[in-house]
Amino acid sequence: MWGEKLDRTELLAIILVGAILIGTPLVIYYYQVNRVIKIMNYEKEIEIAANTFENGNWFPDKIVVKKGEPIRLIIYGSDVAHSLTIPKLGIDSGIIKPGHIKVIEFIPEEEGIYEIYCGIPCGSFHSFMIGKLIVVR
Amino acid sequence: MKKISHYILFSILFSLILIIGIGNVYASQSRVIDIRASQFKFEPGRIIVNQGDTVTFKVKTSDVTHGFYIDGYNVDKEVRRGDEVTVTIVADKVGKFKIRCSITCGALHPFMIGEFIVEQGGVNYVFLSSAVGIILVGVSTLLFIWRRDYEYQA
Amino acid sequence: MSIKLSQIKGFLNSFLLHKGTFDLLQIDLIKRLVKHRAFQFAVILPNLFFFWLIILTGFFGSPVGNMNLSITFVWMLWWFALIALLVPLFSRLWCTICPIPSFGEWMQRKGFIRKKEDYKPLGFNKSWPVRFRNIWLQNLGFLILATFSVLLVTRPIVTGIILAILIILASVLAIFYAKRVFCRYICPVGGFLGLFSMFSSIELRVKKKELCVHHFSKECIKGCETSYGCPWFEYPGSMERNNFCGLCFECVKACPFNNIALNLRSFGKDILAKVGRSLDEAWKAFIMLTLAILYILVMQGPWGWIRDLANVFYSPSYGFALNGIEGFLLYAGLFWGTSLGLTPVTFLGFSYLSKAFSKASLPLRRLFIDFSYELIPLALGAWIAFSIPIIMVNWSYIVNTLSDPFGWGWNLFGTKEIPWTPITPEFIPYLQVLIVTIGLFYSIKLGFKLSSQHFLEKNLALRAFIPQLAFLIGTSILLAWLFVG
Ligand code: SF4
Ligand SMILES: [Cu+2]
Ligand SMILES: [Cu+2]
Repeated sequence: MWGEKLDRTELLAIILVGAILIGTPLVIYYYQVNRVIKIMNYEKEIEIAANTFENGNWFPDKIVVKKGEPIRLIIYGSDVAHSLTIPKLGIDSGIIKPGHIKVIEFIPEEEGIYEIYCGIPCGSFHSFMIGKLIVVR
Repeated sequence: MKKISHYILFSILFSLILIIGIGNVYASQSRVIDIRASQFKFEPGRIIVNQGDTVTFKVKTSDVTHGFYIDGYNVDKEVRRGDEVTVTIVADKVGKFKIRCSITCGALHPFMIGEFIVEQGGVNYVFLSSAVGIILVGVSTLLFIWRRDYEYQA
Repeated sequence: MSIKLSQIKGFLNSFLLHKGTFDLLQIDLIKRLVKHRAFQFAVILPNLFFFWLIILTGFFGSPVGNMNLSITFVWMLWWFALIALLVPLFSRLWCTICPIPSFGEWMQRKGFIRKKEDYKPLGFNKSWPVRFRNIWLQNLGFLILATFSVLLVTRPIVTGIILAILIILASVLAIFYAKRVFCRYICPVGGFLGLFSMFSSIELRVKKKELCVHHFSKECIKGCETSYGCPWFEYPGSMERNNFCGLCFECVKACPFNNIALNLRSFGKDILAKVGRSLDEAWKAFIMLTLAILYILVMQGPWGWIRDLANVFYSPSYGFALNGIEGFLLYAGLFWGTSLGLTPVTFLGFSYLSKAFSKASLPLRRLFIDFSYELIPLALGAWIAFSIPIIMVNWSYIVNTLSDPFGWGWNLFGTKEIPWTPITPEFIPYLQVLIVTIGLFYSIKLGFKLSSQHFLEKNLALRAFIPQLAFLIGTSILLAWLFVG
């Protein structure tokens, strides 16, 4: 009896430890992938994170949208202050401080590839901080 | 025992006189201070003024966007590259106030610190009185414990 | 509940007035808790989750320190809680809940909770080489980590790697050596926990030593059906200091006479314990005092160029690159030179004065080692003072990263956008001076008693202590200068 009961607590313990060690990364992965899927899809709401070039550049650094469809860019400032500008479309988000979010909405009228720049000097590699907005039919 | 309490009383009085003493006889002036913020420092790092001075900070940054925040003086400004941000305050509070960066600017951001020190007539009374206080506490602790042990022994 | 009035009185007396001791195990709830076999496992488990999360965020999260949970949780929350609350009040309670050695320990015990009657530890079960049975390795490890501390506390990946290394090292050592060799002789955290826990207001001791002397089976060392022998190589019956007691409570479970107590007591009692004083611990005290001062200087001072030296992998003009090595070597030299050389040598000078003033026939080495223990409260005060602004100024980063551990833009609990708002930062310097002064008070009080241990004549003890007083006051004024000068 006694031994059996002890073994059951051991079993519970190993399940708990296992759940933490395996479960934690799985839950995190699942949660993040779900968010990223939303970003990658041809959806109208697009999330983009602003990082300095050293810290990984725009993420994602390529966005594909459909011509004529209104889109919503949710820009997340992740390391230092940046801004999002697309000069050819006359878009400028204004400053986005780290940890903050800015939302801009627009309708791309013409097909093509547009460069996304950062408008706030953000270190030695500021001028390398370039992403792409691809407008398809 | 009596002697010691006299000694302590005297020292406290003495240091109080020292603290209240001379301050505030110097004429206040206006100062303009140029500050350059960069990852992860303010230059100059130590700014020393006198109480009553009108201080104008002209802050520029040489790399990313930084913040300019002064403890206790209710200053919090954003400084972008290319801009010169001007802040004017009257240094009415005495002591040492940290200048901090309030906008995350990279790895060492929380340690991006400068110092704004407000003295009285060229003397930092806060430090002076702290030092006197420390000496007083130290010496009187020792005397007190020595005395107690001494009486215990006798 | 079965708490008697006398118990409450005893508790208040020892807690508030420092009169006598109060055994916390008198409180039924606490006793039942720590006697339960699953106790330690249950408290390690949630902590294990956070460790794992910290390693994951360290490796995969944002590279910006204050946007990453690994940095905010370890170097803001944990550090502050450890140095300002856990160690001064609860001795090595951290080691009760620390998951670092637990994998090794579970492996050795072939189980998480249970104690088998025919228990044979797994692994080679060797004993630790005698010449390493001291804390020099811990001193070394701590200094190495401290040298890279500016990287450690700002780069999530470095924190992640170090934590992983510690866990792996502890587990590997557990395969070869018996029990918690890692904790006792290697862990860089354990070194200063041991030193500062001497000051703590809690102690695990036996109630009656005579009982232990005449009790031959000594379950607290060997273990019994319901408990393991002390994993820290301690024998409660002769324990007079907290240094190497990890509060695992196995001995409480083992003792058939209920002879173990968890006492509330006055601060700094162990500093006066005459056993175990040694050069390695003296050096630990020097290292801790010196590093507190250097950290305040580097991380909270206005001198940006020192930070540039320390920040070895980053140069503003070239981005992340391995340049400025010379600068870093200079900085490392400063760290090692002051903590291993300058401070001890200065202190030796003051100890020499103590000897000269009192015309003692004692060897200088004895005075030097014994007096070094008086530095513990002051050093602890300096560390607490250093840690206060971390919480009062930057607390918002902790709650921010709670909602967004990886800095990926999550907002789990809606605390992501709480703005950076320091709490009354203008009073921090005064608080810091106050805390250092409290440390000074205890240093002098205990230091003079240390002096009295050698000089029965009180006036001689006073004379011998005067140079020490000068050293302590001088150090405190230096600290005060850093805070308000
Ligand atoms: S000594 Fe170190 S590893 Fe061991 S329990 Fe304490 S903190 Fe954890
Ligand atoms: Cu940018
Ligand atoms: Cu900054």
